[in-house]
Amino acid sequence: MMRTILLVIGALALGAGAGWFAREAAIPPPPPPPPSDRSTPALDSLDAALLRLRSRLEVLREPTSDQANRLRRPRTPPYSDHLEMADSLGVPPVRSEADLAGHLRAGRLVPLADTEHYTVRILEHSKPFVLPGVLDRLDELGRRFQGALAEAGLPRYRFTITSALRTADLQRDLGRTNRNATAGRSSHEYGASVDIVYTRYDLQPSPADTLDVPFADPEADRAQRLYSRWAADLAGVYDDRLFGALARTLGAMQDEGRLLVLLERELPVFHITLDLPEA
Amino acid sequence: MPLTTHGGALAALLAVAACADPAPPPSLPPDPTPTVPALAPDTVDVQGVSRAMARIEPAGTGRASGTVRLRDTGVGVRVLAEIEGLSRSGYHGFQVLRGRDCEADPAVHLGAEFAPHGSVYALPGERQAGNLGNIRADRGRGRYDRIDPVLRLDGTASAVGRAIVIRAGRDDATSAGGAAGDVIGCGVFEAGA
Repeated sequence: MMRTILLVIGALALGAGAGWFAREAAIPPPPPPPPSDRSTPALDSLDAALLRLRSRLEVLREPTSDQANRLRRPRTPPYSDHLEMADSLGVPPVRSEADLAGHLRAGRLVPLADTEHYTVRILEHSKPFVLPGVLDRLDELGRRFQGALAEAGLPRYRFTITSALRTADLQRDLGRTNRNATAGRSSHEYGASVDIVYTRYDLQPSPADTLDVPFADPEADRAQRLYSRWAADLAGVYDDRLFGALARTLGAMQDEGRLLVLLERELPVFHITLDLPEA
Repeated sequence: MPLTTHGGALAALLAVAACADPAPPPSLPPDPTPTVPALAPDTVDVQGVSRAMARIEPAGTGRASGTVRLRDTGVGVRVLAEIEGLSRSGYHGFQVLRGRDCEADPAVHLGAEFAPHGSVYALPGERQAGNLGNIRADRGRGRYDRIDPVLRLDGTASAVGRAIVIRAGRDDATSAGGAAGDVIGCGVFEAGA
């Protein structure tokens, strides 16, 4: 009798358990939690990287008045020195595209295109060609400039070239609209000079700029893109600091007899000319 | 429990399994390799071209005219444009189209299938080859000279045979297509010249 009672109780317990599990299964799962307004690892990493970049740009020094003035007249070599140097090193003034083609074939002039160290703007009053020696100096300038930025913990920014080889026609045309352009002969006509604007810098991303984000983070790609974009934009906010680093590098290269440098008065550009003292 | 009872239960299980639906075939996991966009049917594989030229003629209500020359320099393609009939002092979008005639959609630029619309100074991969930025007008005339690291004369993405347009407004480098307004001048690149 007792055995029967126990069997009935056991069966009832089993039934109740099965019913409980069936009820649990029938209850729909709770809705997913609303998207969290808190950060993800990718956004945290982006936030931290941008704060770090901003703080390093903050502490990079603008040029002191001495550092800037030593690249301005009267403390820097006058324009006539640029003209003499260009005349002694450069090609005869280019008169036409046919002239230019001849110099290119002979290797006396070489194309000036974007590199990891600099970008070349759309040119309106000059042509994207220079002496081979100028190209070497620009690469050296870029390496040293980016080296100075790396010492300050900054990414690789590229400086910007806004003028290169001019023909006499282009020089005359420029003279009509730009008071800063020299009347008569220009050192740009020999392929030995370029202008570098000191208010524009582009980011050249490197592996060091990769955010520390788990590969599987769904926001990783977006965060990396935003970092590149904002790091590039910050160069516009802190162009005075990058100008400082560029001015110090150019000053050092002028002291070493690598370049002649003239910080122009009416335009935000460095006019630089290849310097070969032994020439 | 007697052995015969086990045998009966086993037989019943086998019978139930035989009546059940067959298991679905195993499926392959998705291929993580990004798909390469298929080439358009009008794609041409251009080879051996080192120079090309387009003669720009006025289009729509515009008056832009002139020439655009392309030259391979070994480190990029030199784009040299001399254009007249522009505004007095504005900027005009300057774009190589994906299309091969002046009726093509001016918002679809060469390389649109590979990259977003971007600044002419953006790094390769971050701009379309056809986004050449802007020509600045100076008393109605514009000159543009740059060695472009992205534009190509050879291959399936060659500019040869494509239309090039001058737009009424400035390419903002961010909106899809550049948002640069009407086409005011157009030409098609031909090899040589």
